[in-house]
Amino acid sequence: MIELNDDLLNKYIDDELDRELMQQIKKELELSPKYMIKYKALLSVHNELKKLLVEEVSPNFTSTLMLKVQKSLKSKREQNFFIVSVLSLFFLICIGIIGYLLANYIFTAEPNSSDAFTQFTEHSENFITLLHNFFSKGNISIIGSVFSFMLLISGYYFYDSMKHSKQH
Amino acid sequence: MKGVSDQEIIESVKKGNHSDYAILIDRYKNKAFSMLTRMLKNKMEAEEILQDCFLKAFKGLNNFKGNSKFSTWFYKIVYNSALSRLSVQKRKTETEMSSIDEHFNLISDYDYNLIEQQDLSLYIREMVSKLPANYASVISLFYLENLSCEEISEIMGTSVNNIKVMLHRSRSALRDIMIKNNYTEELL
Repeated sequence: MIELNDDLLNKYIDDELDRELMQQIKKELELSPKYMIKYKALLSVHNELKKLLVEEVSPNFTSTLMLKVQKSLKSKREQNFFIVSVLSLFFLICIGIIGYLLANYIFTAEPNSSDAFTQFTEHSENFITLLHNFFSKGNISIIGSVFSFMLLISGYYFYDSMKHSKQH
Repeated sequence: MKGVSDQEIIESVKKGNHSDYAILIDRYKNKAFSMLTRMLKNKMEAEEILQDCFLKAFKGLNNFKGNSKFSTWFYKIVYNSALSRLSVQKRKTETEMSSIDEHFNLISDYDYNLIEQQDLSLYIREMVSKLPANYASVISLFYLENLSCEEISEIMGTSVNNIKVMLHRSRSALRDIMIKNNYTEELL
């Protein structure tokens, strides 16, 4: 003799019980009209839920969404292009500095000189002196302003591209 | 394209055939929309969220390793997006066991007298749309998407037992309101 309840009836419908218990519940249901009504109603709900209709999105949903997907790809490409441009600029500056050092070394090197390392060190020192003069007290404020201005411009465009990509 | 699996489509999209993503959209849009509509109770909002979900999924496709089915992964995005929207709107949401402990009463909360409504299917559909968000999502995933309780628990981030409790409670609540409105007469 088992005591019927909603949990058991639900499991009975979902076929989650072992065969013996299923048989017992079946017998109990036959003896209890009250639970038979509950069971039949529950089964009816279960069957009706199986027939639930799928809601449909608006007809142009896929095309609108694919446009958004394309836009998101485009803005991602723009973002990547921006980052690559900024990195390329810094790379070019670095290449320029190294190139300047090498050019100085090649054009001023004495053909018969054997101590290449000493010459290179001298040129490097000259370059450092040049940089030191360049960043002297008089120029530092101008360089700082230019650098800040460049940072602000880059920051603005970066923020703008991020905003643009989020909107799409 | 019916015979093509989700994984094959994803591989194709990853290779650069972005237009193939439309096949995935067409495959899941209506079922996900049904789930969102029942959770948010608003079709316009549901469609807006669904677009965001598909965009999120597209952007995250490279991170999708295929450990679980695409449908499970996608419905997880849909479910979490719906919950976020509900929390933004400060609507009452039910999560994890706390929600299960809080009894919802379809009869008293939504005393929806459809005596004039003769069609049981329509009646049930009306009542499902009035279920709380979590319960509605369980019903949608179980009956519309035919997902197992294990898959639903993975999507909703809760235990299988919780899912079963929600499923049983939803059915029992619908049954009770059906009995209350004398829909059982024809069953006997």
